Amino acid sequence: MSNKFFLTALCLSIMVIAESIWSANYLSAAGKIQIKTPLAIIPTPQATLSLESQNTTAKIGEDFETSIVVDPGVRPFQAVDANIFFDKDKLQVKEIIPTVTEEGAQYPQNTFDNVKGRLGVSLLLFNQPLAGKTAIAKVIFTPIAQGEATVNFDFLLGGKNDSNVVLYKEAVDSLGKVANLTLTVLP
Amino acid sequence: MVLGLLIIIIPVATFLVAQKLPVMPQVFVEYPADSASPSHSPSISPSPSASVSPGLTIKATFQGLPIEFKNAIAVTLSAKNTDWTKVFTLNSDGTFTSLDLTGLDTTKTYDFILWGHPFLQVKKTIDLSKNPQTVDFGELKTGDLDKSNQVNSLDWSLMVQNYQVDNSSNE
Repeated sequence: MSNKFFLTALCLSIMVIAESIWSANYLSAAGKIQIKTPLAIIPTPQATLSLESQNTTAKIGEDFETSIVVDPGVRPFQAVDANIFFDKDKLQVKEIIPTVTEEGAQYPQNTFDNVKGRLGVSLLLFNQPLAGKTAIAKVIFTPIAQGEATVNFDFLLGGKNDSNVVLYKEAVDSLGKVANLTLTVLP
Repeated sequence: MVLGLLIIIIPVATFLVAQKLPVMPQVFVEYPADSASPSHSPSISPSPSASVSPGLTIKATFQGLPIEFKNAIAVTLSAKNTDWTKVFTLNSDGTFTSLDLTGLDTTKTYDFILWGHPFLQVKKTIDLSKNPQTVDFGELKTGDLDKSNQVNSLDWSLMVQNYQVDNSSNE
């Protein structure tokens, strides 16, 4: 008895489901409703920019070196903009040294402004993209005042006119995360 | 029992819904004709003569653009912090005359921003109370392909994808 009831209910359920599908298709084909297909999955920006240094302390007047490092993730990158704010009251940039020497590597931006507390490094790879974690430049700071000094990337997720990482054969910003630097300046 | 009812109700309901609902595009209100557009919408004037009242003369040049194509660029002029926007093309001499300033307070000072793709925007602060005749925005610098108002690696990455592509095979 219960088996018969179950089978009947199963058949009726299948028919209801089939009719529901038919109904939706019928209305869609007639232009009465729109069946939305799932959106294409947009890849999350995976690249990172970081400021890496051996120490997080420095003495006033003693030069301090940090590297601007890009990690593009699993795919190679072809261009980087690293725009950085630094605490101008505690640090001054002495020099920016490009560190990518591959043929076709160009630095259209390699500038700093110790009055505004800004520096910018852009790398374009004309010949071959680079894979893996890569230091694109060294920045030599001279600490000028005691205290905590911040060095932060200008970065807003999805922003186009801040720091960017562009992967090979793409033209979108794949920068998803930055690692900033806090330096303790000692007397 | 319920399932049995559903089997009957679904096709009947589908038929009734199909009769009652309009076809999708009819759900949306048609775009208003240009004449009915709100006043703050960009108004495209195909030629200087389309302006409705005497006003400013705008001057600009475009970096890298051959002189004969000056009038091929549609530029957008807006007043910062207002809804006032005009879209127009420059004459072959690089000017646009009689810009209609309706909607702006001619006793005030505005930051005017001129922009046209793929050029960086230029800002000029203009005191309309001084009845200026001409505003020269100078040379608009090229390269801002993605309209971020900065030329950077994203613009280069767009351009490099098409390097040495001339589309001659499509002609």
